[in-house]
Amino acid sequence: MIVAEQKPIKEIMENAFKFKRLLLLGCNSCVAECAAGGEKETNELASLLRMAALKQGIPIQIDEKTVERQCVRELLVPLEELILSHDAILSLGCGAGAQMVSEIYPEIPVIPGLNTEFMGETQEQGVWLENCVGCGDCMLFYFGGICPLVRCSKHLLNGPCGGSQGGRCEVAPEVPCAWQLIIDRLKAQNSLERLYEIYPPKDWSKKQGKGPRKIIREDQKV
Amino acid sequence: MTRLRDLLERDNFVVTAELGPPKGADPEVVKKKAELLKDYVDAINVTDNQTAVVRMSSLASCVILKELGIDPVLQMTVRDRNRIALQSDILGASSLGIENVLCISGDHQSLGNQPQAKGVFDLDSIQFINTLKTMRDEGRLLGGDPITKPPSLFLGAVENPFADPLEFRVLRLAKKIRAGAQFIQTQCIYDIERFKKFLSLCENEGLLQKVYLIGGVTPLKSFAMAQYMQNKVSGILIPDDIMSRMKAAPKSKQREEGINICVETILTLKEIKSVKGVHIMAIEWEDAVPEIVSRCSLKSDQKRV
Amino acid sequence: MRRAIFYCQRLLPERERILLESTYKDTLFLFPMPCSGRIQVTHLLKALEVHSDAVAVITCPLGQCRYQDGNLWVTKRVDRARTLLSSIGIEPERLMLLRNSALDFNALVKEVMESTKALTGLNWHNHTGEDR
Repeated sequence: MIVAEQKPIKEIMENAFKFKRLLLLGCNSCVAECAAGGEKETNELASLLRMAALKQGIPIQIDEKTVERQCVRELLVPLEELILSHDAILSLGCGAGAQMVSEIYPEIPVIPGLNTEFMGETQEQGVWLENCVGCGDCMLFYFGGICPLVRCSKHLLNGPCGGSQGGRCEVAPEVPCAWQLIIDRLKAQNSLERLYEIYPPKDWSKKQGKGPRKIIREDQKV
Repeated sequence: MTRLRDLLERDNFVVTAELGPPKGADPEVVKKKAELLKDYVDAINVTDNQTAVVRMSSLASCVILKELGIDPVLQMTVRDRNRIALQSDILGASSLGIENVLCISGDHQSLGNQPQAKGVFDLDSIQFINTLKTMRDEGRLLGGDPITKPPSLFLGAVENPFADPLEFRVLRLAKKIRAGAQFIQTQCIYDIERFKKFLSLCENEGLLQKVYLIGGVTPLKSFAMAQYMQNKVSGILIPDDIMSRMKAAPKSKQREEGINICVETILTLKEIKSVKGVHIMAIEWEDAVPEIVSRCSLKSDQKRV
Repeated sequence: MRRAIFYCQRLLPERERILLESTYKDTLFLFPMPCSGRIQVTHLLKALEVHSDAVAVITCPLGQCRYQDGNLWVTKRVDRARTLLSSIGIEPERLMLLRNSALDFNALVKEVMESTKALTGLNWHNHTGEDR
């Protein structure tokens, strides 16, 4: 899922308190899973901001609402009346959600409440790890299910480099060497010979795109 | 045909040394270091923004060396340049008569003085070697476009027999050779036993007949340096007996002991048939090289530049 | 000055709750919970936002939570709420966590009242500030 973190409160207040009627809009999908912008966090932040405004004597009306998924147009359209009765939205969705809101309600300024960071997994409760960069050309099979583009600091396709020591990457002791992990994984699958191949240069154009990447499925369109 | 290649093909035990360019634009720094080294070595490697610290470019420094009549080895990392720049720079290097190229990954950008830089790594070092081989042998760029005049190149790579995992190092060396590596310079050797183990694993795969393996050495300046390298620099293994020797030596004698150890290592390497030369990486201590080379009786074996 | 105390309902019979509240007339409000572990950060913040000047949580002794570790989880939540309060300049001391052990409930309540005496009422609450 997409993993994000809440912005520091001072940064949020700086822009949020410029308005008189603020709506906090949370999202119950990815950002709820990583405890950044779900219903719980949205309610907490609303309460906190109200207290901060009261303490500073700033007159502002702060309301909150959480949607199932903020990046889907259909789920935002029913909120028209609620959104248009406020003069700014503090979005606790990821960057995708925040932008969707702004696109549907272009006259209402959107303040991002989160810093969106990466696509990743919930390793254990409270710990999230990046594991996909959306390269558009998945090669996980060849690397035993471990993506070298994300997990290897130099995103080598023919690693390891000379900085691998004791299963650790040269960048920091807490970072495992992805290639050690890949080797161990392929060994466990009796498929180490997959690494005899010289994997050719990556086609980065699938990740870079020309402008934002877009997928259109005619069979899915109305 | 470069001097380095010529000597290797005639079965000479070669001596190469590393030269670190300055953090500035003064060519005299490069010239001074080159003068120190030129009568003692067969070729000089110029590092490429080593440890991700910005220095005068390797290519420019190699041009300076060429003007002094020295055979340079251009070190080039894939950290800072995409495939367009890599292919372009090599065409440029070859046009200037710089043909020994050492293709390396490069230390991660977070380790140097520009940690906010974007690490490129468009190609990895193996893909880079293969690209250069194709440019040279097939006259084509990546993607197939023909080159008007293919570069003339002698391709090298680095192997680190002391990084993990050991068995995989052999597989990686095999890949580098298949990709086009003609000579290998290893990371600095202190643990001869482990190095010999690595060599025998390579022999089993028949690799050492296909590539010229040059053993790397670095003289230790002090016990503090030994500790630093052991603990802070990845891929370096210093055995206990060497650590003890450096520790036991009084401060004023530590440099001397470091050179002694270096000389002993080189003399051992000389005896190993599959080792075709030595690469002396005397980091910011280039003036130790003449003494080391003389004490190993390597100066007289070669035709001088 | 108003205090709210959230606590595990096992710690205090209902009739005693009514008695305590009347003793501390309008300055103490007691909120029984099925388990102290059911308290969320939102409850703590909301209490300060709309009603109280100080909030305490009283849990069952460690190792005696009926739901195993509810009384452990609440510690993390109280810590988080205190950090959030600090970030907007509200004294984290307005939020306390106490464990019921050898002392009886009444003694703990007294401790809450005493330790919050020095605090001023939050400026947005309208109640008159006497009888601290």
